[in-house]
Amino acid sequence: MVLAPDESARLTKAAVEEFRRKHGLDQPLAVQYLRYMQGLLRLDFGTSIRTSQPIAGEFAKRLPATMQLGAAGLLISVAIGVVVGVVAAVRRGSLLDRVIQPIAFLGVSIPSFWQGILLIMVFAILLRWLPPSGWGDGIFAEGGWRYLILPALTLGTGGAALLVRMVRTSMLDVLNQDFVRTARAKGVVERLVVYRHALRNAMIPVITLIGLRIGDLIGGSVIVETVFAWPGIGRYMIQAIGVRDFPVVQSVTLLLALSYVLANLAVDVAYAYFDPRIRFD
Amino acid sequence: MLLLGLVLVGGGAGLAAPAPGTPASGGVATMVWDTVWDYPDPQTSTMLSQGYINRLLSDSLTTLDAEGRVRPLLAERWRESADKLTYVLWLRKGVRFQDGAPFDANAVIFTYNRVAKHPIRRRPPDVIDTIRSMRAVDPYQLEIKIKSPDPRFLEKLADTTLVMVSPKAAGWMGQQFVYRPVGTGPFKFISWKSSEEMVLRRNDDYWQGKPYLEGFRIREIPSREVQALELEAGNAHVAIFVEAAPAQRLKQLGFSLDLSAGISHRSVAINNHRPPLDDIRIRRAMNYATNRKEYIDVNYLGLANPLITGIGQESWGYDAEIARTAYPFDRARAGALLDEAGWRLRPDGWRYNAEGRRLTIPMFWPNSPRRSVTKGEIFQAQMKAIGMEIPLQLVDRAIWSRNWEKEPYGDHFLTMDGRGTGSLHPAAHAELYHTKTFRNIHKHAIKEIDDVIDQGTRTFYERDAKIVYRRFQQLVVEHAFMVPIYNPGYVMAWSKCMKGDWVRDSSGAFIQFHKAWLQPGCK
Repeated sequence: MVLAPDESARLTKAAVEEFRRKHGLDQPLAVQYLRYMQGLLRLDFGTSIRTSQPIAGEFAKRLPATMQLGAAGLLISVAIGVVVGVVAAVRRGSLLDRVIQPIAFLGVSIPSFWQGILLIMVFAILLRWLPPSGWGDGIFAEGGWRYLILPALTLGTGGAALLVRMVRTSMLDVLNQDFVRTARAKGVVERLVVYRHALRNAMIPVITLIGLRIGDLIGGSVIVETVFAWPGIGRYMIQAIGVRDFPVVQSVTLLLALSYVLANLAVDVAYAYFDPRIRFD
Repeated sequence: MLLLGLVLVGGGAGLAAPAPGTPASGGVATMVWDTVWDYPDPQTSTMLSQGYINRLLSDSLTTLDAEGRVRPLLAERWRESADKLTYVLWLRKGVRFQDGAPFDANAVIFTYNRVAKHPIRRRPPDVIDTIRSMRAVDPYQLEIKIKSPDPRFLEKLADTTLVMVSPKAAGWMGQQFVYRPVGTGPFKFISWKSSEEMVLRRNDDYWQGKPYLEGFRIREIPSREVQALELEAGNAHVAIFVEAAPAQRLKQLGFSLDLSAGISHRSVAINNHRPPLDDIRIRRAMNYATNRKEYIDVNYLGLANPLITGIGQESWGYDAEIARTAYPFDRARAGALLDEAGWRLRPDGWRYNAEGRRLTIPMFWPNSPRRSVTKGEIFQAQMKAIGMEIPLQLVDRAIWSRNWEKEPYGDHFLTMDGRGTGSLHPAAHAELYHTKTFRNIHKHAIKEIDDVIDQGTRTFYERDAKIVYRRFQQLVVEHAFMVPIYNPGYVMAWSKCMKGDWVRDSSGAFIQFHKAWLQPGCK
């Protein structure tokens, strides 16, 4: 994989040997593994085969772009998902609920690369409101936020659709429970019943889903960053796969795994906030 | 349809008419493409599309015209010895690198040595390996001795990888030079952000005159669909590789397009060593059963040229007469050849031999990109129509190439053959099929073909060369050792705001950017 025949055929034997030596590939696999693990402890992810640049440096440059996109996507997911999900649950069976359901289904089903192109055609080409792709001078530069909207919408709406369905189901379950009926019987205002009592209790499965989405947002950014030419980690991964830059692929995979672990940890902590009965004993 | 396609894109092989209007100075042009740079160094970058950047940053000694013929650039003139082993080149005086250093014979020697020392070579810079010695006769006169005569030697010097770099800048920058190249070209390198963009600024002292454009911004956009949308939105002026579908749309919107379909070959490789493919009747049947138009229409919406004789239509060595009569799409003739070879059609739609064995020939095919897979599927369907069963085995590219590279005869029966010639010279096309090329993917052992290709490498005059390559094309048709399909089209698009002439070289077509300008107020 490291030197596929296409590439090795263009190199002299001495160049191949030099390449193997430079990247430590002349060592036994166990040694290579140990060296890699030692490097990880120092946050040294190795060197890109393609550019000869340290991978950690590339991460430092690209991670902010991915985090900004991921955060914006998550914000959109949660904002739309929770609000629309609650409305659909409270107005169960109404016309609004019947409209929301198929839209949510559609949102889950549409592939993000297609949705991205569609959004560009509408908002950048037809309406000319937003730039089609790119990052400008970063989102904190003047007008930079305009570059963020379309990719964040693309990344966020798929998750929002999932959340709508989950929040609706969870809320319906909670709204039928005795403590909600008691609250209503005691004359608590409906808004408080829904948002203070029901929603908080309905959030446990929703939080689990949001946790998974945090990981997905970083993984999912691979597609969205490619469509919108967003200079983040996802795009770095795709470029590396294309040229078999395996140290980069390996390191991004590790980073993705780490993001899932951290997201799950955050979810566990959040459980305790939403349901005080859950404690780490 | 093909002709219509060529007309649609503005003539295909010729020069576009100069755009009307008076050139205006100023403005930054934006170019979009999907290339991922490793770094912007003209010589050591492994990115093929780097050639477009190289033309902006620097110049080579020679250049090519629209027909692929050699023209002077930094070398004003040259003389070759009678034995074709020594070239004396007179270099242009008064040219300076962008750092102010003078361009001279020592700079050429430095540049070529730099290429020679780099372990990774792209064709045709292998020409550097054929150089025996270089000597500066005086600052503007260079003598190059080569190891063996090569009719393409001067053409190869036009390659975009062989553009000049400043020895002075390379000296003081050291390793950093690959990130900040300095050449003689119309635009200076300013900055590069990986995955984002490269910025170039006008070289006011350019030897061909101060460029009209103030600068160039080259954006990396991975999706070709989005590149076309950036053009539509007015945010970009030039797109280098436009897909067929967006190209049609852009044409309707008034963008200028150019099709360059001369430098790559796409074929189905046949392992001539393996039964039943060692039977020429089966190979010829496959050629007759191949509907090239279908490939071009499905994959390129008509924006490609059929490849029939092993030499592309845009090469001056192409013989239209041989191509016209060779293997027209004719399933009846294909069927008759298979009947004659003893493979009879049965009611189940497949062909069987006298022992009852079905005519099944597996095909190893790379699993990406999707367009390539489609090509395999079309071949499978077209062969099914004459009763040949072609199981398509899709594999990773690394596995695919190991399969057919295996010595001595490969493990394959049929497989994909996609290669670039990097040139319109017929020798570059023909040499792909020599048995000694690293990719004798067809595993043929036809001495006559090798002999005629070798003869071509010793033929210096175009008139004689045309006769040699006519014979080569006859042999390709006669032996049917492969199924040539098409030269894929590379479509370049530029907005109506971008004016200027374009020319074509070994890397395809490109605008002469030092003469290009942006129409003021145009959006």
